[in-house]
Amino acid sequence: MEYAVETEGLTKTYKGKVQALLPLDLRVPAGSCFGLLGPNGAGKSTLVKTLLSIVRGSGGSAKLLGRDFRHAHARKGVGYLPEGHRFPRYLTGRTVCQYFGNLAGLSGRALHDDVQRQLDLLDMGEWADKKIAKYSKGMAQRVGLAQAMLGDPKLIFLDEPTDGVDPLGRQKIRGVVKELVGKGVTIFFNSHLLSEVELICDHVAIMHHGRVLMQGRLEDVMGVTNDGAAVRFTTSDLDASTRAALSARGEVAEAGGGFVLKVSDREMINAAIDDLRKAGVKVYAVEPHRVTLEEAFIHLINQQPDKGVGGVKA
Amino acid sequence: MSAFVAIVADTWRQSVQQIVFVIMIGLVLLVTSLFIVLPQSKTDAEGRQVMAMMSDSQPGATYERLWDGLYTELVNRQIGTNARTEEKRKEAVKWEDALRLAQKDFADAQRAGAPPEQLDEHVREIEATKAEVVAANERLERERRILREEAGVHVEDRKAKLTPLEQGVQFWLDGAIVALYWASLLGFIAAGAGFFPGLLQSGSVDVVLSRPISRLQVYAGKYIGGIILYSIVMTVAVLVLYFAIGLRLGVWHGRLFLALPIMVFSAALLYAIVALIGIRTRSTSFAMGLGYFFLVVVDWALALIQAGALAEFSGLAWLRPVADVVRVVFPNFRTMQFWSSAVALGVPIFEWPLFVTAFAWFLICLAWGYHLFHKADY
Repeated sequence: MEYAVETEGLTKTYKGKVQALLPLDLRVPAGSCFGLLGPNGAGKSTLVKTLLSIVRGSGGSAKLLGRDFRHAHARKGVGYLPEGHRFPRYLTGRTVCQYFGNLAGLSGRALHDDVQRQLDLLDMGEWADKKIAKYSKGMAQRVGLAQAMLGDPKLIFLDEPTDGVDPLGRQKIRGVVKELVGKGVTIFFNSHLLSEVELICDHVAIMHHGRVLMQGRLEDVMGVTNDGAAVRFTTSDLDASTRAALSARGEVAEAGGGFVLKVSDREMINAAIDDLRKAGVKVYAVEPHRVTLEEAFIHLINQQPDKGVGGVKA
Repeated sequence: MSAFVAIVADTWRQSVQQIVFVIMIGLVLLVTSLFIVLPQSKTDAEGRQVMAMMSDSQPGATYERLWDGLYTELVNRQIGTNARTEEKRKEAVKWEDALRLAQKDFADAQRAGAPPEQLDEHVREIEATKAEVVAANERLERERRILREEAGVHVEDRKAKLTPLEQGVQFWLDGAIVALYWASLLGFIAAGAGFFPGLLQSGSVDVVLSRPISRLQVYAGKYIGGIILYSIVMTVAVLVLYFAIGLRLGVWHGRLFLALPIMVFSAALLYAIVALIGIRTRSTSFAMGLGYFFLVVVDWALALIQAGALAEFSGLAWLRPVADVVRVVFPNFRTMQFWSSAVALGVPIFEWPLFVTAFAWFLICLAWGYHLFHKADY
């Protein structure tokens, strides 16, 4: 398999001996939409910044599109939208794109046309010549995404791309990202919005305390808690005795308007329905319960001995 | 290449947004305008064309005399008056110190109730030392007189080639160079202090560094952008001054342009210091504040120490070797202003050791600034 990003034993230790990245091995398949997840302080942004040489790595190696990440030319064909970017307020949306396009090696007519194309794609064409100072957070974010897409990069790092964007804007950005993936661009998506990652990513990795706990296809990572069948019941209120009877069938968890029953033997589902009928509880729906990415994530993090935030003090 | 040009261009865009840059332009414009508007060509009582101020009702030889004084001073410096008299000056100072010591010994002996013959011995020593002091000072004066005469030949030679109006205008334009030098440097500190901290703002520097350009290109682009900006402003100011004075007074003093390289070098050194502070602290206010402190306070103090004035004034002998060390260790903007002024008047002075010191500082500050920028995490 070809990888757009590969790291081997990559480490980062900040001043004060805080180890933000412990020897870290990560592989991002080329052409995938890769979601990097982790609690605050897990080292997600440090990893992205280290890969782009914004932060200097302390050890190990990495490759971007097959090139050694320490050299400037490794960033050719790579786009980046940082979290909480602050583009110079004296620039307009167009000049921001032209400036960063120039830095990416574009110039002349090709740059001019590309800037217009990307701004139009993100519905920012009409605002292109207004100063950034007049933009809302969502508009600035769209311009940020536009500059990241200039020059048709093969790999784009997006750090919290929908942060501060309204629902319509989010939908737009998701659409653009899916389109990019469709064209074979690798998207490295860094977000704490797990539902969003679940919607657009096909590969994920979960980080905690500078380590990658798990990486792989989305469904594989979500399957970490599917060690039995889970069924969601939508019912009228349950009394204590019914609840006790259900507990004998499997693990019961509260869920809005009902509960989720996790059983090791599928026959227990029928038995549970019998229990409910016997108790006179109205059953409105019984459906397979799909584990969300958020649940898988919380499950994995809760398994860790240290659930605190931040890097590791060496 | 386009990436490098983009960084340079961004520095210009950044500067025109800053009020401090507008103030710098305003300062340079004000100085240039004043030096264009105030002088006039008038006829004096002897029927000669001379330079005078607008308000002068009886124009005379004021500006010729001023030119004479300034030119003589510059020629003295050029032929190395200071260096050639330095040895004799040191000798005179040595005898003055010896005299002070002898007088102290006499006072101590008197207080201790020494016998009269011992006191007489001290008095004889004092008298002999006094004679040495007088002789050393005479030798120093003789040397200075010789050099003044030597310089006088140069001055008279030059004077013979210039009309009274040209002398007056050249003195006036020399003043313009001095004023432009300081006004532009003071303005440039304010304008340039924000260039690097602005670049290093979190959320802005990230995208720049994520592009396929090296940090060296980013650093050089930002630095060179600032210097090109200063050079353009000063070139325009000198061009305007040259043509305006030429058209108004009929004196075309092309040597004015020779001051530009020294002004640009001074600005480059100052900007390297300010950039280093800006990169280290990531604060515009700090870079500006320390830049002004260096130029206004430290540079003045260094100039006083280097000239040996503090040692002379305080009478502290140990300050003299300190002055010698300071002279070769620290750059001095007052000295560089003097060079620019001298070359504009047609007396090129180039003191190699001082230039080497300034150039070494320039390289060290640039390299140190780059080192900090290169290794930092953003």
